[in-house]
Amino acid sequence: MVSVRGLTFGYRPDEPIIDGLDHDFEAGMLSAVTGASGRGKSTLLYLIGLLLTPWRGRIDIGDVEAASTLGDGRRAALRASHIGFVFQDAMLDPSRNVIDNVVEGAIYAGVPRERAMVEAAILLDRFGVGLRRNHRPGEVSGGQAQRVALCRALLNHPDVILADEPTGNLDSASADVVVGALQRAAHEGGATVIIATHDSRVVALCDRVVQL
Amino acid sequence: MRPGGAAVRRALGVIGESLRIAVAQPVASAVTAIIVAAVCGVIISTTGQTVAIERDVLRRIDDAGTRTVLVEDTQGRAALEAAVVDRIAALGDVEWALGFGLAIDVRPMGLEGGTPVAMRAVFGSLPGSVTATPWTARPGTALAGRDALRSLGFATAAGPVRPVGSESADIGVVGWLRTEPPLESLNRTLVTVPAEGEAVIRLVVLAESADVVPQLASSIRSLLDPVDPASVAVQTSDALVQVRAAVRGELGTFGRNLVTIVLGAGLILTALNVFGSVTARRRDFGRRRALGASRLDIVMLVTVQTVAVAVAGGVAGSVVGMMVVTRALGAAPELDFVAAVITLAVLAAGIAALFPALLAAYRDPVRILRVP
Repeated sequence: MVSVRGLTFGYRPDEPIIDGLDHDFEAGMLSAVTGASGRGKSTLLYLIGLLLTPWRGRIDIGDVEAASTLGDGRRAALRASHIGFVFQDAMLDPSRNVIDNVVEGAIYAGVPRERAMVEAAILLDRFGVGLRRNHRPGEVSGGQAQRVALCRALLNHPDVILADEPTGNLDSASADVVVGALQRAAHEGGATVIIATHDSRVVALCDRVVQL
Repeated sequence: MRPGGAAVRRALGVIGESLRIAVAQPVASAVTAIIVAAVCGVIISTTGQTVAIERDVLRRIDDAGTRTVLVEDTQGRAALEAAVVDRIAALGDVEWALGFGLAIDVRPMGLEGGTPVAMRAVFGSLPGSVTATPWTARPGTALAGRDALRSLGFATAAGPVRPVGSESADIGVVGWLRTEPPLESLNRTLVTVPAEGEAVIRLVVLAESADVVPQLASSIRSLLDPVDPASVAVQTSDALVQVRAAVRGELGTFGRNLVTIVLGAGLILTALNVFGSVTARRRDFGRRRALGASRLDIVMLVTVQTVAVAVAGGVAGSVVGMMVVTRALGAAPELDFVAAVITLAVLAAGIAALFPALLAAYRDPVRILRVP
């Protein structure tokens, strides 16, 4: 579970875009964070993902008060082992092949490369991109690239999955695959899944909605 | 939160990832490798030649006698005892010490046409630089230098000689010897065993290095214990020692300056290349931070990648530099010098990568991720 209390943050002094937010994002649930552009949807994800430090308030990931008490090394370790990110564009490394992209996050979690490669191959097969494992990102479609990014996010079996407009660049069929995978991660895997989205179809598929 | 084993695996994983990045980014890697190769190649092919020349010049100066201390009983009144040779030979900075008695002329017996040559008694053991037939140094026997044998007219290194103007017993030449500086004069003489109570007239001492000659000369003076100190002259090659120090200083300074300039240029070029590379890869580092890379991981990724490529470039450049020196001087530079150059160049590349690596590590990942 992810719990935020009194969360306040802004990019400019005295202009908070998230001001005193209290919310519990429950494990096993798919939560949508919605709101107009500039209201802090992505910012909330980056705060929970420990890439930003709040001005005030606390963020608890499981039993750990994570946002303000940990140094960079501990925050990075927590991110590597317990948090998975899915971005709007897949953000794959164009100089590496698909399977190398998937196992990238395993490095920072201390997972042996051989084991990560095996699990990555299973994930790629499950999401229908196994045959593309040795292709470069430039040689796969946008939908396939996002599925590869999803494999990367799921590889370390994270407790928390943060998806920032994951269907923003996808056709409806690919979007269904991605949202379906996130649903399974939450409902079957027990992960806390938080999706920042404008997409009403995605919102409709979520268990909880947070309006910013 | 993170077990120790996982931390080690993560560190090893980051090192492995750095090597994979080096392969996946051939252009940036090749530029760094070429810079480091050029640094090593230039240093070895220029300073390497300087070092080799310095070594050769110093060897020639040393051959000329910078390490030699010469003691002479100029008036024959010092009465230096035979034991003084052993005492001096036992000093810490002495490679060897050899004493000589008064020279007398000897002529060949039973031969027509041979010319007289000088014969001296030797005190102490012949140094390793003297090549000679085995000799038990019994009284009445002598070794002859190769030139002396020719002068005597001996076809082989065997035959009787007798002091000129004397009817005393013959001395048997039982072998030959050949020497190098500073004992090259022995090639023209015979050496024999000292007579009972014979005094040392001349003493040649070779120091282990030219640097210790002044102190050694002082120690030798204190050990001589002559009957008449005014009769003893102790000579060293002060001027040659000064020339030696000057050569070493001048060439050393030149080499150091050149190495500093080339390394500095290499460091700047490497830093610029790595800086350009990390700037172009800012989204890559932002993504890695989101996936769990710490700032330390990012610093490691950049520096290990640079160092790995620098090692490859350093080795390649050094091979080329060694080939240039070998072609120019006919001898390869010493491997410890080459290893030192590679180490310095790789170290410089690592330092050059550090600043861009820190920039990449401390960039705000969110700012990077939010920019499409």
